[in-house]
Amino acid sequence: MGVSKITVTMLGPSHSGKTTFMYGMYATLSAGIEGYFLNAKDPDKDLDLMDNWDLLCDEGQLPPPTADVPISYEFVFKHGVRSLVDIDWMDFRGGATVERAGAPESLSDVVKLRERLKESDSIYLVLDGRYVGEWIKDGAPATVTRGPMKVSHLSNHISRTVEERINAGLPAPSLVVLITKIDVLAEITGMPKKDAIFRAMDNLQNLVPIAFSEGVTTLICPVQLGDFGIGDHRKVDPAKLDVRYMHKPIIFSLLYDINCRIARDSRRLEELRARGQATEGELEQLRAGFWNGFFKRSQIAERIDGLGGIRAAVEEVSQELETARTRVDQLWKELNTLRIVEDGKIRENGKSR
Amino acid sequence: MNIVMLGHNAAGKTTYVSLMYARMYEGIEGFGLRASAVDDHRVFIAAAEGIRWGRYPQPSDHRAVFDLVLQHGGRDVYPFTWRDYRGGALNEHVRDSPQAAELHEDLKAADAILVFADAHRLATDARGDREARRIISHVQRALDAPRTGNAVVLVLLTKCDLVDFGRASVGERVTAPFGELLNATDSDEKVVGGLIPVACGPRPRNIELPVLLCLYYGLTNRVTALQSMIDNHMRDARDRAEHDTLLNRWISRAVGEQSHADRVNALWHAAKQEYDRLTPLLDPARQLKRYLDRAMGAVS
Repeated sequence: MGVSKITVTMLGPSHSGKTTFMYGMYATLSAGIEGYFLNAKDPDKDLDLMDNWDLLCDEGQLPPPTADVPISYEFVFKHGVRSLVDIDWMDFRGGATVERAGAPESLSDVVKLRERLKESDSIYLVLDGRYVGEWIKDGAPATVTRGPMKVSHLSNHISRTVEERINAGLPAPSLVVLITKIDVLAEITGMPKKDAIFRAMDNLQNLVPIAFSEGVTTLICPVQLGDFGIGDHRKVDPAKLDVRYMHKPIIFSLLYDINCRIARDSRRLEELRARGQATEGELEQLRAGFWNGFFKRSQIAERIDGLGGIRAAVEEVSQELETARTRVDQLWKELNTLRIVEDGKIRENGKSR
Repeated sequence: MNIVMLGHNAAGKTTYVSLMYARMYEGIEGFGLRASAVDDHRVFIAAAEGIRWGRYPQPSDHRAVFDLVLQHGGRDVYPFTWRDYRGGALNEHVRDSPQAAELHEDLKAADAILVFADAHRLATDARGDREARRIISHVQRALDAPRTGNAVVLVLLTKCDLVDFGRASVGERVTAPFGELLNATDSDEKVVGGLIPVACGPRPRNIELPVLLCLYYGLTNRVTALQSMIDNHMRDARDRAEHDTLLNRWISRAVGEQSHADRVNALWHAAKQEYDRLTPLLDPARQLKRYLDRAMGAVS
């Protein structure tokens, strides 16, 4: 199976934890977890990510918010030492995701983000755990369209992207709803953390209806960097670092990409088999009759050649499909504790509920 | 064969290479090393002598490239290149540091990477984990580069004599940062990985194992490559021989071209030349395997 490339874009307002998530994800995966690794292709970018992570671990200093110019990263996601997928990742400042592209004060990154979304194979919608906690405390209502999470605005971006990609004949992007800073949920809601997470997941359709739409596949992934609790988050206590689930979203993005490829290759396999059958039929007709074998030699040879090519292609695609399905089974195992929604229905352990 | 040492400052790279050279120069079961440059030989031997008296060499302040030769029975068998770096190069940007740029290029071209991890630091300082992570990232990037033979990645746990492995969880703390990397190398048929505890003090331990393991895989890669060339030449020769006719010989001679028979002869000659290169490697490779099986069994 060849290495493909996926484009990942994060959407979320300022201070929702987008950059911090990326740093946590990189720190977790660069040393490897459950056999998976993530590496920046550019050693300088790798160094920047590591240096910033060290600042967090040594001094509790959170990564600075992304500047006006988005930072682009090319990652390689691996299982063992084998590359599974190349990842094109761009870190936009939070403002770019919620400002209007046409507004006079808008910056070039706002326009760039709109363009990039069209190319995105996977979109991460970042919900700040502090505001998710407040929402749960308020009874998880369906009426939150405005507010600090900017869900309505961000959902519009997503639905437009889904529509544009489907119209262009591309698969809809996979969606990850990231609930960051889940360490604060217990304190804000007054519930045990686990209960608060389940309350959020059970009612998420009220908050992010787009995640439950027809044609959209969504991973709901609560994440945390540490047990810091609420308070001033410009600096944290490094002793309380406790990174959770940061590597799961990228596994989901890959899984979805492979599933899209399986669907595409399965169609191709059917086409090849149909072509093979048609060619076999033609060959049979050409060979029919006593003299045809002699007078139609060149046509027969051409069909035999064609059939050989088709059979080789069938073999190749079948093998790729088998490898892809094995990989999918392997990836599902990493996600079996999380909730995945497909066309509005919850899937568990890789199967529709 | 290219061997690159990778490790942070004071991980023991320069000490290791000096002591390793001196030990191998003395010879082990018929195997020995010699440096192509006399100056390198003198520096290694002098540094190793100092280490025996507790005087450690200054850390490397520049990239150093040593051309060495594996000998067996006093005969040169297999030349290889050994590269040492200033530990700081690992933490420098390629855009600012020519040495960092060279390190990345050398890693991509390396047949073997020796990762130096300070066991004492891993056991006692939480930053050791993060330093390991930086190294793993370099190794993973290096392994993305295409290679013809097996790549070797060995993690050398240096300063093992300073760590009390008898204490609860110390062994786990020291080895855990490299666990995922070693699992990754274990599960791939094109990469050979391993972890070797070494001590480079006045009472050295396992000094020769890393270099001999690298050289064994270098030798087997070379043997495989030569064998494959011989097979190709012989197959081509057989194919040509099928087209060899008297007519072809006459016509070829008349028009001044190589006949199939000439080509067959040239291919047999080429195969013979490769075979002559191959045979001197076979016995050392076998002996080396025998030695390593015993030595690695003892380490395990």
